[in-house]
Amino acid sequence: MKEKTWVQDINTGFYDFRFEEDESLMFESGITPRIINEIADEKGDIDWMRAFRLKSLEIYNKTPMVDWGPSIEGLDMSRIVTYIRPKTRMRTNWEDVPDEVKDTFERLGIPQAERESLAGVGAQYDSELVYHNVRKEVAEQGVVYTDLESAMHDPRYEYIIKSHFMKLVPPTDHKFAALHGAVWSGGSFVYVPKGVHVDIPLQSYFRLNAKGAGQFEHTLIIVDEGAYLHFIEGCSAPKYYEASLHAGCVELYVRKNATLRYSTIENWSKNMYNLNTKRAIVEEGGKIEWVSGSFGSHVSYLYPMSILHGEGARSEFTGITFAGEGQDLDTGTKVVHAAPNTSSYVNTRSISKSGGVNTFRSSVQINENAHGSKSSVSCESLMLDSISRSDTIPAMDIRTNQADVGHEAKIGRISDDVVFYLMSRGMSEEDARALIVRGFADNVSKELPLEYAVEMNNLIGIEMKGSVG
Amino acid sequence: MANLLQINNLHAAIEEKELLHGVSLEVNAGETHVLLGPNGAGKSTLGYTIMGSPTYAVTEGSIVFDGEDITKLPADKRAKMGIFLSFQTPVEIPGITLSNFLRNALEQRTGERIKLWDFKKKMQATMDVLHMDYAYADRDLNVGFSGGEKKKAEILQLLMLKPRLAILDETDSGLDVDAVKTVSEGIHEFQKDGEHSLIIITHNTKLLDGLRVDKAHVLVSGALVADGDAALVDDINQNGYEKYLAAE
Amino acid sequence: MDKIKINQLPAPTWRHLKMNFAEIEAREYSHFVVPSMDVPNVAKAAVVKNAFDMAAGWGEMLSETIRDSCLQLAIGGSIKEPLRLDYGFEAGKNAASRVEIVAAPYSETTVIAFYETDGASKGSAAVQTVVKAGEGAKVHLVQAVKVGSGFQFINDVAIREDDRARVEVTQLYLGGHAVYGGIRSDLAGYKSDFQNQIGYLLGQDETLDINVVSSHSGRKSNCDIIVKGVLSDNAQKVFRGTIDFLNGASGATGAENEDVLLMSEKVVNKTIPLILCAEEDVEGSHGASIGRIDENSVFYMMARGMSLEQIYQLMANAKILSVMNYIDDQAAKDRILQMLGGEDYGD
Repeated sequence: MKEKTWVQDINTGFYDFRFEEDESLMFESGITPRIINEIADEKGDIDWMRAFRLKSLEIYNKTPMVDWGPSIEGLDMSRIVTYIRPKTRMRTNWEDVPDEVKDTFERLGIPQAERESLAGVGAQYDSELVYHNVRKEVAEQGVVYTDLESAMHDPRYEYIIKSHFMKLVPPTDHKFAALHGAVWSGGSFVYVPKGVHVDIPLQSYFRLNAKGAGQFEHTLIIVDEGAYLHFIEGCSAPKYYEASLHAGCVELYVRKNATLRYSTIENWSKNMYNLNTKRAIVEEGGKIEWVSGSFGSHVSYLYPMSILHGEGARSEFTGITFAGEGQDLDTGTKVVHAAPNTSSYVNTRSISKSGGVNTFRSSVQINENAHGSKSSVSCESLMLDSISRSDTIPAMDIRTNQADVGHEAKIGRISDDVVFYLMSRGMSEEDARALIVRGFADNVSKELPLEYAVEMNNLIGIEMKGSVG
Repeated sequence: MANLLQINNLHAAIEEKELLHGVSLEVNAGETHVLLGPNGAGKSTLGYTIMGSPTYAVTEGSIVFDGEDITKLPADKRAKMGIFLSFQTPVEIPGITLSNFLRNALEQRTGERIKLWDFKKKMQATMDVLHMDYAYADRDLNVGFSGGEKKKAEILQLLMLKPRLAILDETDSGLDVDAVKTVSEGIHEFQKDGEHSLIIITHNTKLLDGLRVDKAHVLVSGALVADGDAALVDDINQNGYEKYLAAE
Repeated sequence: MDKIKINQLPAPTWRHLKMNFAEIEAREYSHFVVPSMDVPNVAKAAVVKNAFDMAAGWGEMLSETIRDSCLQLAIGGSIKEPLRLDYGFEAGKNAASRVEIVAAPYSETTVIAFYETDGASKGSAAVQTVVKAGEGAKVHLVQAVKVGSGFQFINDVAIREDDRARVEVTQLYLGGHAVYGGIRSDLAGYKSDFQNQIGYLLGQDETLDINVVSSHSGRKSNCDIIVKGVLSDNAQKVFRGTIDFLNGASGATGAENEDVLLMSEKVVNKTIPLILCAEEDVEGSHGASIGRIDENSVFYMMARGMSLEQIYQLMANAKILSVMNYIDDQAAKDRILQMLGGEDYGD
């Protein structure tokens, strides 16, 4: 059954998403319009945003839960209401942060103050200062880089935000998109003017952590014609929140001949349900480059989507997912080729260890009008033991003969011969296996700025500790 | 002798990178030319461009075959006119036997149906020249063929199709001594009646032992730097390309 | 009429892709048919009543409806001459048939089955072939399908293999407007081996929906799934292929590959090749190549004088012929060539 899209001027035709209700259980979330109004009051929402939140809540209450993918039964939806009440947010004490998270900070060599900031405990630390400096530098190029909430109140940006906010990911998309629409809070707004090449990568983590936002944050980026931006989200230290749901949303608009690189190394603490929605629309000659590392969270549903909307638009997705003990990570990507001569390239790796569950899930759609389009998908999975699991579920839907679609996937294990070779050169088995895994992950690490690549390698080292029985 | 192929100031590029910078060459009917040059000089590019590969764009100049400008003609039309290129890496086609494929190509070349029995006899006779096992006729085209078998299969097609101009692109590369000899005998078979023209692309000259060479050319960095006769081949054999590289 | 789900993907994905299952109208398959047979004396054929006791590629819902009667072929020893089964379905009926091939340890046999209707006959058929391969047994099942445009044909093959058994299934789907094919292979035995080749040639408004599941529980079990097809006109096809490595299947290997040639702008091709894995010591791979003929092959053939149109025709033929290469029996090959429209095919 189709859900009527209530946002008037949205065009969902190009990616053809429909809502189909089935017998899935509907339930009472406990979130009431009164609570939503409280949020809107606290944020001083403009009327249209308040209305948007309330409408999203309605959709949320009507929308069934996902019925495929990892179990989210452990997520106590009735408690969501307590996570989102403005007054209860961010009351964490450093003492309450689990030891496991503290240990990781220790191993990554992060200073105490920063640790507290990353854990969402503190407020204004050094990172805030860094953020302001970055802002000043890019502002000189005419780039807008600010937090979404204050941008919305700025008459210069209000209209842009109103006409782009949740247009790419409408609240009708899925249950957690609807929840996001109702309760979103914090996040970034970036606008890069025509032809501007931003030389330094913008990093959201400086601000997100400082304000303790991040659970329902919204990122809205518009890269105008011919411009270039590299945006880095998150950081490799685990973000700890008392509340265990992350339902953020990222909307990226890549205009004609523009390029946006969007990098993420996500390492949410391991109690987190990460139900994030990321989507980019790319116009004529433009390009989106996703670089994505998923290390943290208890359960993830994460499939950055590229809609190649203009002729010659391109997308690249490079990803790695590492699932360890207690983790069920369902990650991948979606691509819709909706214009001629578009191309997509997907290269992913996944590693499963200590009972971790990895699912690579993808879809490549080539529409009838996408003549001359090309798509190439390659995914490799590594199993480090036999109590873990790794599934590969790639879908392809091709509707024109004027296309070239290739797909390849491999699954396997670390070769005993290679381990033996490295050990014969004096390396411990643990180090040998960690070395091989780092090499396996180099599709992502070589796409990251150096300091991130180093941190990612440290992360792999941490994950591989004790990997040899 | 009648002029068969005339290349005038040919420039060819791949994705805006120019690989041939104005090559001019004339091949008369019945002549055998050898095209020498170091790796990456553009020898294969020239061969593929004469055949009409869409990979290379002709940005300037022309190719005239038998009096007709073929610069813009697709490869199948050129093949029908009598141009043949032996590929360095022939494609594999599961499901189509070598014999089926060749019969198909022969009918394209001649424009006539050929009786299966006549075709078989002719094919086996040609396979004898190349010391090829008849079993290859019924194997899928190039599928599971070794490097040497693929090259022989290319020469088999050459001898069956009897083109007016054959371009042999590194047909000797990766072959052992015996295989080079066999391939060379095959080429001799093609050459001996004096009616068929050849451009032999190579950077090793063993293949040429026992073959008549009328003209030789040296291609360096996308331009012809020397023309001569068979003596040029001997010169390169002894002295290499150094003086041409230095002259750049 | 009620609908039932068949050919379900073992691990579902996004609903909007419409690849998780096929949906058909529920019918009562009450018309039990036995094919005409050419069975050498050494094999025993008998119609028996027994319940279906294995997992099926098309799923449980359909298995339920045709559980009673069954033609059992008992294979002992090595049989050189193939067993030939021939189905010609009558119009207007909902035919059901189940054939159980019970291959004794170290027996060897080939079973060749043809499924045809004349022209545009209405009706439907649900046919299941069960292969129980004992230790070291070798079974090669060949199936060729061509049914009329009003006919719904549902084909299922359910396989169970003991130690060192080898079952090969070669299928050719050569036409039909509503054809469904399920295969479920349980590789329970040590070093059991499943070889599967599927060729399809669809045009006009024909549709084909395939679901192959190779489930590996046996150590060092292996599967190779090769699918080659051609879609032209308004043809639509779904291919689901799953290699499922269960925990404990150490040393297991599996590969699947689909190669689809698209010949018209209006075709719809859906491909979803899964690998599910709960065992470290395995090697699995899958690949898919969909669309046009690659540039190198086109140029090579053009350089031999063929036009683009001829090249596409040749390559389309090659896809089917390369699957036919897996069939050893000349009579079967000749008949398939006839179904394709004449002796000249491939020339």
